[in-house]
Parts: sequence; structure tokens; C-alpha cells
Amino acid sequence: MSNRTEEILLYMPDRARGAIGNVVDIVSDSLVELRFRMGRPLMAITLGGQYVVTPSGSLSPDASGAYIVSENDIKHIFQAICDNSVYAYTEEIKQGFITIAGGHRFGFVGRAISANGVIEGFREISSINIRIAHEVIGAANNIMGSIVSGGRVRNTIVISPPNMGKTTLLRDIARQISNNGKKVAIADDRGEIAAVYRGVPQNDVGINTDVIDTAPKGEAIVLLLRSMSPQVIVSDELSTASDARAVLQAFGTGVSVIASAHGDNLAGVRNRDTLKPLFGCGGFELAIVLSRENGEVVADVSEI
Amino acid sequence: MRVSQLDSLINALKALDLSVSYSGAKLSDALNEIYCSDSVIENMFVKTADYLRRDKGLSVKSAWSRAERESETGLYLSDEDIAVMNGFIYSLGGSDRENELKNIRAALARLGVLYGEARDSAVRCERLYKSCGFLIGAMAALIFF
Repeated sequence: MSNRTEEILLYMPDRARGAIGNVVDIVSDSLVELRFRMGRPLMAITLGGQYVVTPSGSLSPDASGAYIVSENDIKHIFQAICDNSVYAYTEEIKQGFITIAGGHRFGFVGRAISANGVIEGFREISSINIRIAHEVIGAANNIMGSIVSGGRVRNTIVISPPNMGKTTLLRDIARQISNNGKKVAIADDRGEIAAVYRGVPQNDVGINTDVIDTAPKGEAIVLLLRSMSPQVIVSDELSTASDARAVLQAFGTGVSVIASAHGDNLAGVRNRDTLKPLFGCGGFELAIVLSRENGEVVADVSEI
Repeated sequence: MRVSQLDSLINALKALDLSVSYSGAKLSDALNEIYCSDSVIENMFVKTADYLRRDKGLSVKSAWSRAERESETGLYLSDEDIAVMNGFIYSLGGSDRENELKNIRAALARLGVLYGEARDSAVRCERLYKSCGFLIGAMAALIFF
């Protein structure tokens, strides 16, 4: 079991700790998520598929003999990730996730408390989703030669469907650019690239990198341009017009942008109304499309 | 001693109220910064904070129970005092700011009543001892003179 996954066990109720420890031992680095849903089977999502966890910690394809998540399990985990100080985590609770040491992200939902159509927080948490942090140092080795050309970082967009490793790739790109002397700034709205915990990125994003996390991407990018004088901005999952406006502003100031977007191919993404403006002159120059072939993730690099 | 320890508990909860209201300090930090005139009570909070810091998965209830067991010999609180305190502590840290403050202030109100009763009882006992002392003195005077 890696040290990073051991960190998750600290937050588990006694009743579940043994089972989860066994799951982690069995699937090791292929564990992607653990899902706790009140009154329902504990689930483990791995690179190989989705399984039900039994009380002994073995993985089963069906729900018979499953470990059933109790209300106390959910309460224990939620209080533990809030350091027994739920009152001190108002902003994180509004966001719907908390990142712990090691970079693992605990997302939660339940009965929402809203005001004026905006979710202010949750009570009666009913589901917790633990996304296990995995970083792959060197994931971008084969494509760095295309991204950095003549000392200049080219505006690059990484495109793929979910769970292909976009974020893992972005992270390693940021790390390599940063460690090669460029000032990198990351707009990390979901806390998945750097996984900042108490001000320290839990993932290696390079020594020359500044991070804004849990802020809306568009505002974060503009603020980074103003305050951190970056040479490169990295952002995950561009989707809205606000995201696009902020990226255009970065292009306009000569800052290189490395970003990602959901999609199956370049044509689909560049024809999206909100993202079209980013593919004109002075915009993205390079597209990296990720797909799966024979069980392996393949990166197709093309000029735009 | 009971009066003094109840007074310390009340001051500790007032300090906690300020922490939650203004600084939003995490519970282990807030408990560690509680200073009481009674060292046994202060120590319970400090120990609870220490257990919470050292063991991420430990509940407030478990940490406080451990600290309470270790302080048993120096505690002069009544069973009712302990029940009120434990009831409050076991729910500590599990609510948003508004409800956390409500819990703290509800516990303060209950402890305030217990403190008032304890102080009145202490005053009555003091009067009784003084009266007994006077009576014993008067009897001695009658017997010997």
C-alpha cells in the first residue's frame, strides 16, 4: 500500500477501516474512487471497473454480501475530513469537496441548503465520493517536445472523454515547464491538478508554480494574470464563455495557456460555441487528443 | 472546588464561543488555546486537543472521554455537571457556525444554572459551618464556665 493511500485510512470509521485497507492492498494504484452511499453497498471504482466491497475487503461484482454504509460511517468520515470543525469549513462545504493531505478529494452531497437559488451548504450528508490522488511523474515526457518549441511554450489544448488522464497529463506538463524555469500559474477550481492542502500542493506541480484553488476558472485566470505575472497558465476543463474570455485575455497579454476540455475530438471542441473564439489566430496552436486503444491511453498530437 | 471548576468550564466555553464566532479556528486549535483558573479543567481541554491533533480519525467524544478518564482524580464536578458537559462535547464540531454557536450557548446557559445552584449550596454550607462553629463554641463555654 502506498503512503498516499494509507492517508485515507486515517479518516475511515473503525468498522470500515479493515475492509478498505484490504481493498487498497488488492487493487493498489488502480484504485480510482471509493463511494460511500448511506444505506447502500460500499463501492470501489478501479481502472478495471466498478466493484462492491465486502466487509472483509474483497471485491465483488454484485451486491450480495456487501458492506452496507451506515449513517455513522458517513458522519464519522465527514467530521474527520472537517477536522471535527464543520463550522470552520463553510467555504469548502459550499464547494462540495474537501482535499486532504496526500491530495485525495472527498466530495459530498446531501440535503442542500440554498438561498436565492445558490447552494450555501449541505446538511444530512448522504453520499461521500473519495477520489484517490494519483500523479504520474513523466506522463508528459513523450509530448513535451511538441509543447515547448525554441524555448517558447505553445498554447495547447488537451482533449478527451472523462477518465482518460487529462488532469494527470496537465499536471505533469505544468511540473516540467515549471522546473525548466518558466513561471507557471494554475487555476485549479476543483483542486485536482495541484491538490492544495493547507497551502501546499500535494501533487508535484513544479517549483516555480503558483496555484489558485476552488475559485471559478474565469476569475482565477484573470487574477493570476494580474497578481502572479505568469509566463504560462494551466487550467483544467474549459467549458463556459467566462472561461474562454479569461483565456483570450491571457492570449492577449502574451501568456501561454495549457488547458483541457471534455470531448472526443478536436472538431467537436473547436465547434463548441463557448470555445470557438479560442481557436482563431493567436489562440490554441496544438491539440492533444487522448483516446484508449487496446487498453492503453494514446495521445494524438496535431497542429491547429 | 466544584464551584471553581464550573466557573472554569463556563469561561472555557466563552473562549470557544469567541473562537468559533470570530476566528473560525479548527477545534483542536481552539481547545488548545483555552486558559482556565482550574488546571484540571484546562488540562482536559489541552489533552483533548492533543488527541485530536495526533489522531485524524478520532472523534471528539473519544478524545474527550480519554482526557476525562485521565483527570478523574482531580475532578469535583457532580454527575449532572459531567452529563451536561459531555452532552455538549459529544456534539462539538459537527455543525455549521450558526448551530455550533447555538450549542455552545445552550451549554453555557445550563452550566450557568448549575453554577448558580452550586454557589448557593456552597454559601449555605459555609453558613452552616459557621453556625456549627458558633454553637460548639457556645456549648464549650457553658460546659467549662
